[in-house]
Amino acid sequence: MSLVLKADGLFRSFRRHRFLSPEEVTPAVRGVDLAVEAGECLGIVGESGCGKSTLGRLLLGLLRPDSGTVRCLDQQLNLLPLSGLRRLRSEMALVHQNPLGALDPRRPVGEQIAEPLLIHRHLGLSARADRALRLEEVLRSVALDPALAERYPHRLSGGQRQRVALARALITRPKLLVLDEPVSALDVSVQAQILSLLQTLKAESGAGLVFISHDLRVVRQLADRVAVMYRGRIVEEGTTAAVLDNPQHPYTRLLRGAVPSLVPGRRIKAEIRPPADLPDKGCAFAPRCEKVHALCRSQFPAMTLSDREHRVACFSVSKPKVAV
Amino acid sequence: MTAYLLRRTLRAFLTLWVAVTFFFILFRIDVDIGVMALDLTASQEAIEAFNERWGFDRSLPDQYLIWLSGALQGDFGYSFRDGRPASEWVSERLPKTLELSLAGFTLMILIGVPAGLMAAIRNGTAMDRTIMGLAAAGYSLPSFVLGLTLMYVFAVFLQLLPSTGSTTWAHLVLPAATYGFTGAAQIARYTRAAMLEVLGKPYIAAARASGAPANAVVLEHAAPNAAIPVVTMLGFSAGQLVGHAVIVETVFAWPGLGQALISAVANRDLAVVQVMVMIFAAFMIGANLIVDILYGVLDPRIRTAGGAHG
Amino acid sequence: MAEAVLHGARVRPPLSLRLAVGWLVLVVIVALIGPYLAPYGLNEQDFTARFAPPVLAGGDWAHPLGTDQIGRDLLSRLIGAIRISLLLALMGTVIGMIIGTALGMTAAYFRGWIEDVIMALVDFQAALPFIIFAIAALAVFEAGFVTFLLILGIAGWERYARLVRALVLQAQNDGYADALNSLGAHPVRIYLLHILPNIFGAVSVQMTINFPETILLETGLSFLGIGIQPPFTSLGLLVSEGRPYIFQAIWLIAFPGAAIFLTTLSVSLLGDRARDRADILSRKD
Repeated sequence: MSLVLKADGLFRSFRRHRFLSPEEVTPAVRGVDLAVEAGECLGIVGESGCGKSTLGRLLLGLLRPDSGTVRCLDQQLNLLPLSGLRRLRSEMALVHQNPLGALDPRRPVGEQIAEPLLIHRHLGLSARADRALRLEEVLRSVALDPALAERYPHRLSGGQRQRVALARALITRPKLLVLDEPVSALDVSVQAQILSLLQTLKAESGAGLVFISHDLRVVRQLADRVAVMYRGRIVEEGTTAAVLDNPQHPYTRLLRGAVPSLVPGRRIKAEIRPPADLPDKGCAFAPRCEKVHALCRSQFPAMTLSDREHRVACFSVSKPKVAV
Repeated sequence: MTAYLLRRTLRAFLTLWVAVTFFFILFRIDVDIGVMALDLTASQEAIEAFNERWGFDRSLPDQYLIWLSGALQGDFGYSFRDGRPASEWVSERLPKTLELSLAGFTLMILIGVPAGLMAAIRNGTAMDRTIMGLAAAGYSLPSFVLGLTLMYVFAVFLQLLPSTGSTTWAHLVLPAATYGFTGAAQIARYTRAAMLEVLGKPYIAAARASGAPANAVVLEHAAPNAAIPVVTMLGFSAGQLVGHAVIVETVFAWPGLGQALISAVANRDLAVVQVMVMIFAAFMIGANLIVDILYGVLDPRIRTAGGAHG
Repeated sequence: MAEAVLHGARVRPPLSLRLAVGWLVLVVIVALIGPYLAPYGLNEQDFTARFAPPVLAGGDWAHPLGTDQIGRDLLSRLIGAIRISLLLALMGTVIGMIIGTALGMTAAYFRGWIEDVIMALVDFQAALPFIIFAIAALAVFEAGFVTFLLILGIAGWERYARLVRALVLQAQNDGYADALNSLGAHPVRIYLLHILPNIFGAVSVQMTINFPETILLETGLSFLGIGIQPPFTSLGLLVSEGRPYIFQAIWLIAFPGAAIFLTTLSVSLLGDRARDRADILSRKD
């Protein structure tokens, strides 16, 4: 059981400079710890704005954290020189929500899929014959007709484009694959195809996957473990079955309830607050929480250290009897 | 809205100050002014005396401060040639340039805007193509060629109008016409484009469908909305006038700032050149500022936004 | 929508375009091999043939376009002038494009204060009528060929910079630059192999707008006497030299003037056409 990815204490905020005004600081990730093992898929779920995309980029070293470390394949990302980081990228890949944007409109897709082999000459597969061979292999593994390799991105369907993006991500046989809402923009039927493809790939390649989504149903199909994110923090984490079937954190419960579910009559308390309105201390979910205590507003609850199966950061779980 | 105006005015002054400083430095780097203003046979003492008299032996920041404090009081230095204050040059010539520019600008608008509107309304017809063809020609024709052509046709060939000088109103016709045609081409193009954009919008189709007479649709609905980009364009054109001023005045020997600028350059009279260049820059910046203000007045989005945006 | 209408209305009869192309081809040929065809030298004087009118106005074929006040053959001078004006305009446009593209890319890549500085420069340049700056610069520096060329080059850079910056930011927004970065591509690779080809179309269109303006600027400055100096010649210089003789030798102004006009017009027409087609193509996606 080798660790593909280990993140500790990640913090990241965004600053906005405005001339003659105070700086606007938007915190995106506020103290996240994660670990992903080879052959495992970790799902990260949360509503939009919770910082999961930022987290995804931090995990790949595309953003520098304000503090905290990321270790990928046992190398600490912020200690690597830029060229070393680029080399390491042959072992990592990111697949985005919007495949059309991720592809250069002026090149045929086959060329683009094979391009990482040219970027990473150290893999030794940059010769034309090698590239062609590997291209064929990877096209087969994503179930794309090789004839499509000559086409331009705008002439492909959404599902085909996403396969192209996947193929490009997989061609260097990465050990870590981060997928940021890869199926959100696709039709439901196509979603199913891509998801089953991802399952196959996960099994065959033995890579570690991080699957970021806001859709619980999709995550349930693919992920072995799930981390629930709210406003920059992980509030609940554990095996998929544990978290999704038996959610402990009020927010997770809310998320699950938001899916048109089998329990009629359940009232959902969902207010939308503008992201800037973040309480300084205490649990960010307190304003919306049905089980809020006084303590929740002043302190952020630490993750329960119980077991790896299921951890929660909530006072209603860890300190059920708190005197007001 | 007031915040918007304040920001714009501040920016204009900032740009003006940067321009003035920039030109100040430009005129003093790399140049031994004494040698330039006198000639190559001048003796070392003569050069030094010259430098001392005009203050060029001081350091650059010193010179700048001296000049700036003088400028704020209206003293812009003296001409090397005849020792007159540069501001005198300006006050003599500026009215003439304004007279011509105003005439030209008016003509530009009077020809260009209706032409553009007409072309837009009769979009796709022969009239549209003719107007646009003329506009393309006007845009490609250098103002000095047009000016000389007009001069030839009307002054030499037909002997209808005087060719050079500026004593009577008849003298104004040809230069203003040159301005007018060259500038009208650009304005016609932009007006047409702006108008077409507006005419394509859904609210125009709605107005038409409601049975309003075509003229009303154009005048009440389309034109005011097309006005905004056109006004911007006009402001830009006003600034361009400056450039044309130099050429047109030279062609017709019109005694304005432009012509004085060229002769000052030929004479290496840097003080005068500096002042005139700054006047022209100020003019352009001022024109842009007016456009910004008009923009703020015309565009309801800015008027009501309370100046949150800049 | 409006653009479709615009395009439909702007479809020029092919004749004018064919003429434009024809003229440009002629001009280019003249520029390339003209000096070998020119019957006389640029400054060859012949006092026996002063103010000879052109062929169709009573002159003879020895001087098809006439001569000037000291007997120099206008045709030969025109050929030389076309060469120089064209060369300057072309090189000036290319220089402006290179400077502007480089700065635009730099601004978009680095963002932060570098971008602010570059955009402030762009705004500053856009706020001033360039001809004033050119006049000022030429007043200070000697009007040598290289200096003049540099000034012409600086004339349009700010529009390229603005355009390129916007396009690069859009490319970054589109995502392929980012995707390639996440795959480990070096920024140089991303910019040269991917972004540059994608923005080249728009930059080329800008060049077709910039080129006629550069011709006008160069000829204007030469006309004013602060551009190209004798013994070289330029179309603008020819016009200004012919100007005192407007009464007796109008051809000295007419031919160079027409040459400027036709060249600028032809490039403008072609540029318009190219821009319309580029609009259509970009909307097809």
